[in-house]
Amino acid sequence: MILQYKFLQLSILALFLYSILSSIIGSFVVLRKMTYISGGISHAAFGGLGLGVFLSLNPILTAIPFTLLFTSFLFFIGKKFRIENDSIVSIIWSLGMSLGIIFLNFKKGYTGYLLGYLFGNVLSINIFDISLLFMVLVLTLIIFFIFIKEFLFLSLDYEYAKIVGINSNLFDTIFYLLITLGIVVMIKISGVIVNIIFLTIAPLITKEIFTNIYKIVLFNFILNLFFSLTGLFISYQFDLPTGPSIVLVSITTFIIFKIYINFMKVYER
Amino acid sequence: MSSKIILEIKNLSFVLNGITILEDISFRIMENELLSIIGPNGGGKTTLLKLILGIYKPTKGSINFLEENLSIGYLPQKKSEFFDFPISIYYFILLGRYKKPFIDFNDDDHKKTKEVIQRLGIENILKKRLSTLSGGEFQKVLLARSIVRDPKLLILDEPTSFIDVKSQNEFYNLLWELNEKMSIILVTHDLGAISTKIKKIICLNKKITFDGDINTNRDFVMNKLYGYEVNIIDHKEHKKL
Repeated sequence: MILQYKFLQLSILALFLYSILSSIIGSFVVLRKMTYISGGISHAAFGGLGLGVFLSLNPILTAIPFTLLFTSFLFFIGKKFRIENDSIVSIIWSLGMSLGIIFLNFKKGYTGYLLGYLFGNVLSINIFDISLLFMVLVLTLIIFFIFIKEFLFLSLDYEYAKIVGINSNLFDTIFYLLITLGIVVMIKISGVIVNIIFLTIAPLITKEIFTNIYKIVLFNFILNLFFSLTGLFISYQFDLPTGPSIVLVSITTFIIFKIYINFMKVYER
Repeated sequence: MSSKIILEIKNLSFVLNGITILEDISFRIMENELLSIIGPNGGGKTTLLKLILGIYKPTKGSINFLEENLSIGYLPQKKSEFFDFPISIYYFILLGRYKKPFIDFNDDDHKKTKEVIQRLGIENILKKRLSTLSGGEFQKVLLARSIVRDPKLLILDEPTSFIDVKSQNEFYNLLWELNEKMSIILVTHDLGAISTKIKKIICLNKKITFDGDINTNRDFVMNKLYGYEVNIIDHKEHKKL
C-alpha cells in the first residue's frame, strides 16, 4: 500500500489543500481574463525564490514580499508612464525569471532546486509548507466568500460595478494581494510553470457548464483534485516528475472535453 | 409635470490627455423629463454620460443631483458576446440591486427582480446564457438590470444600435412607459424614433450646438449638427403612439 509512506500522505494532503486554493483563485483569474497576469506574477515569484536561496533564507517566505513589491512597483511604473498592461506583464515575466537565475548564479555551490521551482515537487513538501498553504487558503476562503458579490461584479462588468458604488481600487488591491499570496505558496507544489496551467484548465471547463460561481468553484476543486491525484499516481507508478504528469492529465482531459462539447453542438444541430 | 430639477450641469468641460472632449456644457433635466442627446461619433456623448455617472471627473464646471445619492440606472452600449461570462440571467439582473459590502440581497431584492423580469416579459430566456441572447433580448436584460434598482434617472447609451426595427419599436414602447416614473437621458442616432416622442434634445459636438424642442426647424438643426443634409424618417410604429 503506497499510502503507508509519510511523504505521500503529506503530498496528498498538500494536493487536497492546493486543489481548493487553486479552484478559487483560478475561477476568478479565468473569469477576469487575467491568466497572462497570473503567469507574470508566477514568474516574478521566481526572482524572489532566487533571492531567498542567495540570502540563505526560506525561499517561499522571501518570495512573498519580493513578488508583492516587485509587481506593485512595475505596475505603478506602467501606470505612471502609460505603458500598456500586457507590456508591463511581459517585463515582469522576463525580469522576474532573469533575476531569479542571476541570484542563483551568485550562490556559490548551489546545485540545484531549479527544476523543482519551475515544475514543482509535491513529494518534497513538509509540514511548514502545508501550514503556510493552509493559512493562505483560510484567508482566501474568508475574503472571497465575504466579498463574492464584489469580485463577481467587477469580473462581470467592471464599469457598471464602479457605477453602483463598488470601490474598484480597494477590491483590485485585495484581489491582486490574494492572487500573489496564493500563487507563491502554491509554487513548491506545482512550480512556476505548472501553476499557470493549474489555474486555467479546470475553470475553462467548468465555465462552459455552469452559470453559478459556487458550482464553478466546487467543480474546479473536484477537477483539480482529480488532475493532481491522477498525476501523482502516474508519476509514482512510472517514475515520472509529478508536475509535468499533472499537466499532461489536465490538458488531456481538457482536449477530450472540448472534442465532446463540439461533437454535442454538431449533434444538436 | 413636476418642476423639480433632477440633474443640473453647469459650465462643464472635460479635457483628456490634453485634448478637449467637452467644452462649456450646461443643461438641466427635470423630474420625469425625457431628454435626448444626439450628435456625430466622437462628439462627446458617451463621455458626457460617463461624467454624469461619476466614471470620469470634470476638468471644469459642476454636476449637481437633486439628492446626494440619487439612484441612477445605466444601460451601456454593449453586445451580448461581450458577456462571455458564466452567470445566470436572473443573478445578472439581481446584481443591479447591489447596495454595499456585507449587505446581502434580501427578499425585497428578489421580489423586485422577479417583478422587473415579468414586466419586461423575459421569463422565457432566463435559462439561456448571456452570450447566446439575441440583440433585442440582451437589450431587455440590460434594461432590466438598470431599472431593477428603481432609479430616478435612467441613462441609455444608444440602446437600439444592435437590434432590428421590430425589437426597436418594442424597446421604445417600454421606454415611454418607464418615463412615467423616471427621468430619462437617451443617447441615440435613431432620429426617427426621437422625432415623434421626444421633444427636448441636446445636439452635442464637443459643445452644445442646439438645446430645445426638436420639432422647431429640425432639418436646420440636424444639418448644422452633422454638417450635411439629414433626412429624418419617422418610425411608423412610433407615429401610432
